[in-house]
Amino acid sequence: MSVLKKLLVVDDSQLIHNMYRLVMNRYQGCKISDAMNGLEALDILSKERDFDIILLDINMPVMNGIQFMEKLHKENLYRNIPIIVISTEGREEDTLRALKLGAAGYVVKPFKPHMLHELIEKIMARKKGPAASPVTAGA
Amino acid sequence: MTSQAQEIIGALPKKDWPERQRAIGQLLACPEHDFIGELEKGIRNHDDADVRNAAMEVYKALGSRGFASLSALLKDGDHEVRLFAVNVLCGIADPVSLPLLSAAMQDGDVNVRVAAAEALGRIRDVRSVPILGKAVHDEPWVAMAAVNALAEIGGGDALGMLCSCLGIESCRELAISALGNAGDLDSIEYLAACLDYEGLCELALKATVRIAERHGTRPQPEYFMHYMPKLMEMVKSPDPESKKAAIRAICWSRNIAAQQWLIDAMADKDLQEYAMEGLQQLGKRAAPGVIDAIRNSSGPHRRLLVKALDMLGEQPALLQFAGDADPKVRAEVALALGVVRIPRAVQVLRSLMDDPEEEVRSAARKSLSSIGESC
Repeated sequence: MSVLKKLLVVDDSQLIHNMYRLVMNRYQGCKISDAMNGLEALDILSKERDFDIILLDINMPVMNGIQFMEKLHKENLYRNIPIIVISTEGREEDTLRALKLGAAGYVVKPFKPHMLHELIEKIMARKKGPAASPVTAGA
Repeated sequence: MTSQAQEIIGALPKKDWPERQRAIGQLLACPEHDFIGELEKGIRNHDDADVRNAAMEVYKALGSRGFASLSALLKDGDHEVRLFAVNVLCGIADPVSLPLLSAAMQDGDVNVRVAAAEALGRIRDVRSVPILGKAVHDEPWVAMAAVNALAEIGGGDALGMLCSCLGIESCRELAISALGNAGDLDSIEYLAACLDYEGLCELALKATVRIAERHGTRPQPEYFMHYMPKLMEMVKSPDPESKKAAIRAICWSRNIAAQQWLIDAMADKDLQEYAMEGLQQLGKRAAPGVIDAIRNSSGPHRRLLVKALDMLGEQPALLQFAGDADPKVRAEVALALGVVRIPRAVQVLRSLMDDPEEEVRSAARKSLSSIGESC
């Protein structure tokens, strides 16, 4: 199992933040930071850049997931931090847009915890190796 | 739609957050029927998240003025549209939307039900408790959302429901965490019973400690009596919070079997405060063990053991350590003797006035003065 030390969760739902804390219990000692929208995430990233992975929701107020990715893409920011997009069934357009903007993978809600764990493992393993195409949960 | 409203809505997705808020303010000054149709189209937009999010923001700003439209969207054939409508209601968090959200809890799409449960939690209306109580038997995500919502609602009914959730495996973990955040004194008994669950013991104990600290209380010793081996093991946890929770529970157990462990813990800077409390909880039963430890151990913590003996009301037993090789121990003894009016103590304090260390002499002087004896 890869060692996930620091995770940034960007979602406007406190419930989802609580759920991720449970889902990530297996990565003991992993520090999880919460951002309620893209703007908050940018603020956190300007102070701390050592996140292993970002979990990103699409629909959020203030700055949504796509706007956040566009900003990162346009300004070439935080390219070393893989982003997993949390999507829902029927939102293929958003997912594709996020992948084009550099997302490392995506998972569709509601997902089983092991699906996200597998995706994280794959991305963390790829982070160590050569660059590769995006991955999806269960792929 | 009037051209002004049309213009504002059309430009919204491209504006940044502060500009968007100003534009929404202008839009709200127009009658809803001028733009509500356009908002519905925006919510149904599958191609552009910016358009959809802008529409959601306007709906949120509209509040109850948009409920009729949102009610229609909740019946849309597209589950995504229904989800966005519920998300908007969640953002508005108005009790007037309870009937709409209660209906959404029966939606065929799991994400809609999750969002509806979250919205009910945000509204914090006790009337939602029975609906959420049913939802804890739904699919895991819905069940977890319902548990979270019950914790947000709080109060006797919701907390009682949360305690009953501890019996449901799929949402037990979240229920324990939720009770840690929102639980009351009655919740402690239910959480203590969770110490039996393999893998959840630490979580349950941390939740118990959080409630106890929040209410400034000590749970009953019986809750922890039978878990001593588990608690002793947990004290070795690398997680400081788990470690602290375990030692708190050991202290609360008032179990004499923990005495030696508590004495040893006095040597650990991180645990001293709690170990001292634990020894106090044991009361005079702990005194012989503490005396032995002062006699037979070495290190700076012996001074704290002297203090523990003092707190146990065993000052006469301290007389034997007045000639200890460690001046810190002698000083602590001198300070402790300041509360006992026995001839032997006065005699020892006077002899400590000739101690080579100023710290000891100063403590002896202070104690003699406090019991009204001349130096």
